[in-house]
Amino acid sequence: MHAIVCIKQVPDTTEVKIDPQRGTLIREGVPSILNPFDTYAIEEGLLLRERFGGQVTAISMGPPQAEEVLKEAIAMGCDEGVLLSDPAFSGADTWATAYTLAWAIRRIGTFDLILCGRQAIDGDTGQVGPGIARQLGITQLTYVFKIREIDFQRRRVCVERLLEEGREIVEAPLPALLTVLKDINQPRVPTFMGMRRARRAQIPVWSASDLAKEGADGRFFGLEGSPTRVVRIFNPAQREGRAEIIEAEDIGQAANVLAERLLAEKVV
Amino acid sequence: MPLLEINREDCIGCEACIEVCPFGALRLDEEGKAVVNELCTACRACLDACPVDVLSLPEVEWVRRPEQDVYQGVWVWIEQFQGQACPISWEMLGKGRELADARSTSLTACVLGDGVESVAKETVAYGADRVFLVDDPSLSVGRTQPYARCLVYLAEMYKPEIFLLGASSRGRDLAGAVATELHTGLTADCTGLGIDAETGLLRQTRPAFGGNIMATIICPEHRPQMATVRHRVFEMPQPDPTRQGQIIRQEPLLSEDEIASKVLDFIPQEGEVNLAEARVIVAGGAGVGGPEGFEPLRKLAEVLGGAVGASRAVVDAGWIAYAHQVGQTGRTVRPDLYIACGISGAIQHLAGMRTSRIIVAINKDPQAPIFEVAHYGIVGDFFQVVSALAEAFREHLSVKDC
Amino acid sequence: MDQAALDFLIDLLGRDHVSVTDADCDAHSQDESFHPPHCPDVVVWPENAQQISSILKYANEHRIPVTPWSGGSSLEGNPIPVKGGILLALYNMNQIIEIREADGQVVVQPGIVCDELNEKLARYGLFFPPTPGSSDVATIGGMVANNSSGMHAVKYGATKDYVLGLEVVLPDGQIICVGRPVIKSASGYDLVRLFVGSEGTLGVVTEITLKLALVPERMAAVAAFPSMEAAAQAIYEINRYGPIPAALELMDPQIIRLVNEWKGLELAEAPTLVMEFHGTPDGIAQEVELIRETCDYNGCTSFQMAANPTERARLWEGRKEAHNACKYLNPGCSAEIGDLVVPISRYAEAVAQAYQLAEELGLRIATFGHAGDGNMHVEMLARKDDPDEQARAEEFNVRLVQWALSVGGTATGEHGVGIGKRQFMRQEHGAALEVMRAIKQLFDPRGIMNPGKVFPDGE
Repeated sequence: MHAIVCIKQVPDTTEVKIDPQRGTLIREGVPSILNPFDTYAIEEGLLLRERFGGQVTAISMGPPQAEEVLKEAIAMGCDEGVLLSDPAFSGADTWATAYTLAWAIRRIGTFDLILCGRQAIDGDTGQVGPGIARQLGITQLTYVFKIREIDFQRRRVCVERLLEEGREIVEAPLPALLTVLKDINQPRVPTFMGMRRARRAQIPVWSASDLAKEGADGRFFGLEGSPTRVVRIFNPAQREGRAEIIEAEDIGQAANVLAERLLAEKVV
Repeated sequence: MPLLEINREDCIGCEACIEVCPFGALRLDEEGKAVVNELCTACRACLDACPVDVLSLPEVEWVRRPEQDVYQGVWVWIEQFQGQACPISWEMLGKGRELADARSTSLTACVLGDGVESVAKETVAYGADRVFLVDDPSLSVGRTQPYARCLVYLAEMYKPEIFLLGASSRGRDLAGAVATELHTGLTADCTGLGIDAETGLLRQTRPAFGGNIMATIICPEHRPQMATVRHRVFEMPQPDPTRQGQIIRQEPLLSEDEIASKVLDFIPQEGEVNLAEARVIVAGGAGVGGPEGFEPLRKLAEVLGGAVGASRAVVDAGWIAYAHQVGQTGRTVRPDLYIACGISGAIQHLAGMRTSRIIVAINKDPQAPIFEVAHYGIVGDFFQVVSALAEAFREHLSVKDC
Repeated sequence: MDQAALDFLIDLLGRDHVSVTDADCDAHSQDESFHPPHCPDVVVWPENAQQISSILKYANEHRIPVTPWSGGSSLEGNPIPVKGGILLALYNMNQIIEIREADGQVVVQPGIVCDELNEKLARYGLFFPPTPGSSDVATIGGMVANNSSGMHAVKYGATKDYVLGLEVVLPDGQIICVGRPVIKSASGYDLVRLFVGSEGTLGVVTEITLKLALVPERMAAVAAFPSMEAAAQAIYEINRYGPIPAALELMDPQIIRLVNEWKGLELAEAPTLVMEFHGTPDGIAQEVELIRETCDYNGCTSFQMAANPTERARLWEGRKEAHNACKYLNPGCSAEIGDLVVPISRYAEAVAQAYQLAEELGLRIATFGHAGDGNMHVEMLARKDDPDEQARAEEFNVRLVQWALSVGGTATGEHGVGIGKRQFMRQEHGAALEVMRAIKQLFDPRGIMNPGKVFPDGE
């Protein structure tokens, strides 16, 4: 069994604040962390390895410091990590990111499953997983909250997906790409045994030319390869003003007044 | 090399850019000048912060090319579930109409499913000039592969300029696949869409960094410009059953045998109104005193045809199930009407509901923070107020019915 | 609260860090215990030790009671401001000041929540072992005040074993630092361990240096027994002959029945040991083998193990939900928890004693606890609107604790003295109680710090 987990290093957005005077992001001391949704993907890979044996490889695209999250993935239990890092990769939108990761996965070789977290907490798009699946021509199964059955001989996987209306049970051939939800499992914490391994681990760094040798088209990496561009960053509007407090002789009257107001607002 | 360019000479070392950079790509060097490293992602957050304008990013070189004129029309994917159109699709159509008008072009919709001709007709009523209908048993349940094939085929054939999908789970799944296949740009979870007066490009606005900032994005070169939009961001248009439109049937691109995945079963969500879809939510917090406190709330929700929500505190206390939790780890909701009963307005709860169209707060404490975000409020005992409100609405609504 | 004092506070802290509104006072009037609420006169949110120092200095001069409040998750009324006065809300002082990875230490402010601290430490492979059942809301400041611990105490000890240093603001406003950030020291009196467990009566802790442990490999195991006697024998043998697990908990059939109902589980309603093992993979495999042998020998009817966190969470779910099950399945009842500790050789006897007393007094109880360190929790369920049942529950509590004391035990293993356990202080400590009073008098001659706690009667 070979599972590949795509992970990302992100700023801890729960720590990000807005400067009330200037209305700008305050980034002081915001640490970089492993995208929390990715820990569930890593754990799911490790659980599969516990059941079936095999290997779990973590892969990430980012600046050199993204090696930290690959080491964390190894400390959790992943067998290997691969870092895609090259100035040519920077500024990539989701299309270019998926393109780059897909080529790296081709370079890694054969695999049974690709696991991704549901989305990254900085971009919040959830598009890279489907993008990779499309690039590689494999089935994508998103919003997975349970792997019901997986059969590496028959090459089938059956999952439960959580959609707005309920749960969908769907079966697909392997290899497949799964994006998993929070709470699909309880991710393990790096133990001292894992930390030892992570310390010794050598993480190869692949560059744009490494992927070009495989056949990738360098024009499709990074900012140059991104169909979308950010033209502006600004702060969300804050609401002003206080409530109209409805006062009346008694509660019955107040309720009546409120009901009338709400009917006038056409919300009922 | 890093993307950001810094005019060293004129940099005053004020560190404003360093403070706002979400990626920590900036620092001051020994000479007190800002320098950037490879962490820069060209997110542009620093440009506005710099008081002396020494920062620049490569301007998006966009020259309108004649080849692009071939791409015309605004398209919307109509999501349906078990033969019923999902409301989000109508919201997309409403916005699509606006964009099509701004571009002086037509609005086309794509309906995929099994036995969904009625949906196609409804789509015309909601504003589509033209509907591509792919009606086949293989499409009865949404699956990425066959659905994506249809949309990709249609888009390549008919070349829309803009293609919108609802940002439901299905929509996001499908949009990602289609955009990748079409080699075009996709912006997820847009909260704003508009046509740029100068360039005619679609300006897509969306939150990022957990909602801490907003970003405006364009897709200058690739077509179609694709976007997904969250539920309840745009208004629901009024349908006009007398509207005329073209319904064009299209054969599916794949036979059932060619489709790799099989949907084995579907287990619907238990009972009550889906919080995410509800137009009206009546929510209870610690002030309702206990699980019994939710009874009057349920009654009011019923009268109003809404759902019952809850703050995290009462879910943690076990007064009501987690499915009702609004805010923080529960759902983000944006109903038309949110009635907060006995909810003080803790910041985590507010995050989940503050963009509701109208917020009503009922709390016995006039100082409760919830009143800062509410549009209307009544200070009093929630039990009495909610019961009186249910009565008042029962009267008003039944009067309206006759 | 007189206007002058309010003006002083507003001047010092700013208007939005001081509040006298009902909502705010109510929110700080009651912890998780069933002691009646009591509002403070004013709630303040200081941001640093200097501000707290000024507040205490003023309060000391004007004899205003001051009660520190961190998480408010305690179970014995410890932070309830029973004499009104100033409530120092510390939960906004919740930063990690420094993670000293190489030394396995962390410096934190008191308001940081235990689980959040461990989440931030996780990627370094480090953790802070004392984890009370309420670790998702309990703060380090409160844990220091109460010398909190939890199921891992049997192997790792309690909070006091992990505090290397403290910054404390004394009742007269003086700021001192006690302890050194090193593993051992034979230098001077151990003031650190005087403050840890002093329940905010000797000063306000504003910075804590903690020693951390390495995150180990883990395995969980659950063993059900045909009778209390069999379970007790197994416990005895495990404690006496080892190996000592990282957690050794006992749940009685009553609590399991409640948990099954609460969470829809299907655990066997039998005396059950819930255990955890920490160490290297081979080490814990061997430990589990040995413990399994002990359990088998004592007639256990089932033995389940789990290694990965998802399955371990499932095995532990029953134990984690014990208190909630009691509380939420019995609305209208006060679910008070006893917290006595006895020498481990008497643990099984303690359980028997509890049930005997409960029968005699016609009360419903359920027990669960840390069999590995002799700490039993008894849930006494008494209807709030039944004064007779409430009185019997109180009698049960008193008699059971007195029995525990008579065999060399203590009234409280984890929850602290707070309000409810003051009545046992004299019996438990005898003359030593007067020495404690003298120390209190030395630190706080005007008795402003968290009055009404720890010491019986007024001081």
